[in-house]
Amino acid sequence: MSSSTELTEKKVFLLKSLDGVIFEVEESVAVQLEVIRELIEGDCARPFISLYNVTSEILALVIEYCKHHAETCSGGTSATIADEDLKTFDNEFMNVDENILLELCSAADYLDIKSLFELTCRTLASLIKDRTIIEVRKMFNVENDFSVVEEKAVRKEFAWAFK
Amino acid sequence: MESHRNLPTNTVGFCLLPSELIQYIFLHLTLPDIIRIRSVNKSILSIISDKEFVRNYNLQSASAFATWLFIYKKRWHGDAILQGFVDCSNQWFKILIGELLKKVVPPGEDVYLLAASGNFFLFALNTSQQLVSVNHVTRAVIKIPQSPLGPRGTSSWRRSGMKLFSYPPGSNNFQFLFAELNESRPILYEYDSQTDIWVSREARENDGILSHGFETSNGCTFLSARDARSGSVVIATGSQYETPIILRSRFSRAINEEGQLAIGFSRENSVDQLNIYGDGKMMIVRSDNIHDATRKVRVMTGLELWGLSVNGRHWEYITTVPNELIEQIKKPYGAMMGCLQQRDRIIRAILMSNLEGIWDIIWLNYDILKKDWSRIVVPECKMKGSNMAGIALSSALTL
Repeated sequence: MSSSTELTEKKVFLLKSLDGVIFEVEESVAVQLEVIRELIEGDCARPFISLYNVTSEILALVIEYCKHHAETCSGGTSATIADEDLKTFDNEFMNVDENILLELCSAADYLDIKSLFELTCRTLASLIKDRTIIEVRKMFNVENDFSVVEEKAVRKEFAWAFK
Repeated sequence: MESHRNLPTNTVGFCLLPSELIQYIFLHLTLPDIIRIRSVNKSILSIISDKEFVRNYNLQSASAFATWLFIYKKRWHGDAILQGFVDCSNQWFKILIGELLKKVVPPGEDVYLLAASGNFFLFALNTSQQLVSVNHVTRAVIKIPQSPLGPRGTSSWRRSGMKLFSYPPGSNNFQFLFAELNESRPILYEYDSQTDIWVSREARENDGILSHGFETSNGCTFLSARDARSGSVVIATGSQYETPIILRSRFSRAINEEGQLAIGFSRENSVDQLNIYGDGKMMIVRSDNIHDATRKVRVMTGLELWGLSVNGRHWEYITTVPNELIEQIKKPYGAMMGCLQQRDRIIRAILMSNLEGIWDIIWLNYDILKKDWSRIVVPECKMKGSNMAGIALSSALTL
């Protein structure tokens, strides 16, 4: 954030995405990926880490998220302001296409970034919440494979929830 | 920052995610939503029906996820219905138990909702002076034997200081507890559905037993036995105490923010006070009378939260609801009732008021750690022309 810190030597890591794009990240960002933090703490981290399950598009987003969180948390602002700032950022960050959300969720799980995983799960749940059954089917890209009798039986089991 | 957004992507599709991931997402849904999407297709149904998922969902619901407010309302001519509102949703749900109640309730009976916990609802029948429990999942309706105090009508039951427990979540058993002064001796009455018997235990005085303080986290339960301005009688019970303990808690003479003595401050006819008890906490609702020749109308002026001191001898002032919030929620009213509950760090208060047949429901939460009040906006529940027959706050219904 401040220019003076650029003078001190910073440890950087190179993260390689599934499609071969290489991202350079500082340690403060890299450690937010729990999988990498474990490598660093175990002293097994090489400067070059391949992430086979994440595309460059999604990795760019993940890094953007981690960078913002790392900067806000070390920015020296008061906890409540930082909290507000992160909330605003998170809301804006989640304002993406549904498929990207799914990929982010899956990447956050793979890279073990708890806050991002929680955030994406919560956002995906809120998408489901606001939709009809037919819309949810579209969202999941599935067909209704119940017979009329079966569907009736499923609904009857928790009849109170449909009123 | 916007450059990489909304790029065309290969479709992942929910169903390509591993089912554990989908389950994590589903854990964030409210129960009515979960139940709704069961009928999406077979694979979703199997994900939701997975035993591990059901267990995790029920455990999470019981910890802090969702709190339900139930209202039992009677229409002037016709059936009564049970409605539930969950704090993370924005609509009321009907819980269909009418058919179940019909099995044991004679026609024309006056039914009142006393308490709710897990999948259990406890009702008092006024004419037959009987208690009935309903489990809407197992569809079991049970007449509870008479308490040691004998048959009693609804009016004796309309009080705070009762507690219904159904644990663990999804359990098919419950305990019902209440405290009462019997010939000025505080007695704890306890019913267990597993044994189907009542046990009454006389509480003993708090002679230094509580010098180490309560361990509220350790399952201590507080039941209010008497409410008086100078102090109150509360019974504390828990597995760590051999016998229930009497807390004769007085008000500590705290000064509130306006510099007034918070308790015992009373100008004639100008201050009206309602105390609502629950889980070792108390909410004081202060109101002013509005002068009106034909009817008694009041308006809320302040809400205070008090809690039992560590040794149980005093009520200690905790906090006041900020004026801005009072301004948002106050409405003229004729009568008011409420309930108060604490689960983990959140204290929940429901205030239900009526003015000439129009009901108003206020839901406030206080976060003990953040020291922060918030309001849950309760949607209109179409109470007009209905009679309110009991409210209850409950930890989650379960899958």
